[in-house]
Amino acid sequence: MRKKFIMVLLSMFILISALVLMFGNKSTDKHAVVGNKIAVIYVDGTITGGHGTSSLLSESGGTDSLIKQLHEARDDSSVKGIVLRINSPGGSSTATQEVGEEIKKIRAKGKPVVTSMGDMAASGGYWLAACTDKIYANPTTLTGSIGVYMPYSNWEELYKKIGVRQEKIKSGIHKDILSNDRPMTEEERVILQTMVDEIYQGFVEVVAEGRHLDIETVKKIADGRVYTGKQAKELGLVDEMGNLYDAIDDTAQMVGIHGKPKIKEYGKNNPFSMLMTTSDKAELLKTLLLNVPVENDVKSVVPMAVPEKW
Amino acid sequence: MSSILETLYDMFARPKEAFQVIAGYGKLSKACQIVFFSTTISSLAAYANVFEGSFKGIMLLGQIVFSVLVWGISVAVWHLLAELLGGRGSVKTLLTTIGFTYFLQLFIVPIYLIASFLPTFGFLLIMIATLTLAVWSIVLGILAIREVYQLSGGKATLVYFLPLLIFIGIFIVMIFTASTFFMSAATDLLANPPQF
Repeated sequence: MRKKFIMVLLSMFILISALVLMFGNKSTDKHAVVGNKIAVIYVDGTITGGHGTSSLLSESGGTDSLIKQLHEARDDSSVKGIVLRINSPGGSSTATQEVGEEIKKIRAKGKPVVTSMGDMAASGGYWLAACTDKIYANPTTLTGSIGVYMPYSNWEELYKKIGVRQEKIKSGIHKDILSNDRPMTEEERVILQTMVDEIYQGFVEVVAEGRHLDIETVKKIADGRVYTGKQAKELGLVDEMGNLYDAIDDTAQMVGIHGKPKIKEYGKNNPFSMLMTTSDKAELLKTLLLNVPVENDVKSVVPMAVPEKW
Repeated sequence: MSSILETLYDMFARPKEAFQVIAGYGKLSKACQIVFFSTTISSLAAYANVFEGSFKGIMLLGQIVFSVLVWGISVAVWHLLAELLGGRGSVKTLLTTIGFTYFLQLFIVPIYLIASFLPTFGFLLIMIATLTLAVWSIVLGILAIREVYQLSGGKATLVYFLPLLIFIGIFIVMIFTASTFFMSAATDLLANPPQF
């Protein structure tokens, strides 16, 4: 009889707990906690287009996965604001532009996006930051480097020394533009300079629009040099000095979250996915392949929004 | 046979005696009810307030189906291993006995409720409780195998963990095979770099 009584009490306790969880607790705590999230999305390393590194359980590196994370944060109704943690020297201007446009679309839908700069948020990294509502940087963060360049090297003399003579059959006179076995012609230089100027103009416009500065003012500081976070604040390129958590707290205040916000991190690998990833091998392969001279190697000549030396 | 509530009480207080009773008089239909209700209620409680995300209904249904499948498959594997190790018993009896241990899952429900009021330490509390219940469940499972097949404690433990060890072994072999494949693919690619 005693056993039955204890088990009946226990069963009732379990049942009541289940009912409270399912029906009673919804209107109070759950929504207060669950709906108050700040998403943290990481932009790490060189910004490149494409999938980046794919594994069985995760994707990382390329802007495709970054855009996917931005979309997830945008579509999650419990996420009230987004903090973009940038630690990047820049990268491909096209990939950067693509992500920048997505950030603008998210802001247009009413979710604020705030930047927290890590060690470096230069060039393409700054481009992304300029697309956000507010920028936090540390005093020693390296930022700026507003500019565009197109790398080119002429190995003609080296080829002569080692007895290599490249022959080409081409469909048009500019098909082998930026070819490393001959000097660039003046006409080609003009073509490429026009491209770089056009992309630079776009970069300047993004900064001017995002930072509410005149085009001419931006052009004065956009000579490609890097600035410290402190210098950038004086120039109006950064809003506040602070770390990631200052940015999170400020974003929470912007969206009216009282108390500590719940942080939802995107793109963090769990131990199982780290075990299944092929990132190290892929990085090694990429590095080795980039060092192999390939005729008309598109990857090596795309306009880069990245400091030449960093 | 004593009532089901008394049997469940004994399973926690005197598991050896309780399993002898279940092995002798326990009904599979009762075990099915326990598995179904325990899994449904604990999953409902979990998805109601602790876990978040879309497709809760599908996930809940999946969780119930998965639990029933795990129950059936694990009992089948344990039965085979117990017979191989010299145990003599019925698979239906083991299915019934293990089914009764599923009642333990319900103990997590009040923990979910307490955790929902503790935003900072709630998750930690759930982790500790889950770990405790998992250990308890393993102990009950081993005792059930021992009583049903009349095996020694050591052999019953081996029967319980052998499927897990085999699974880990297969997983390690798969990882090594996959690594070898990727490395050979990388070598081929380096030997013939892509051209534009």
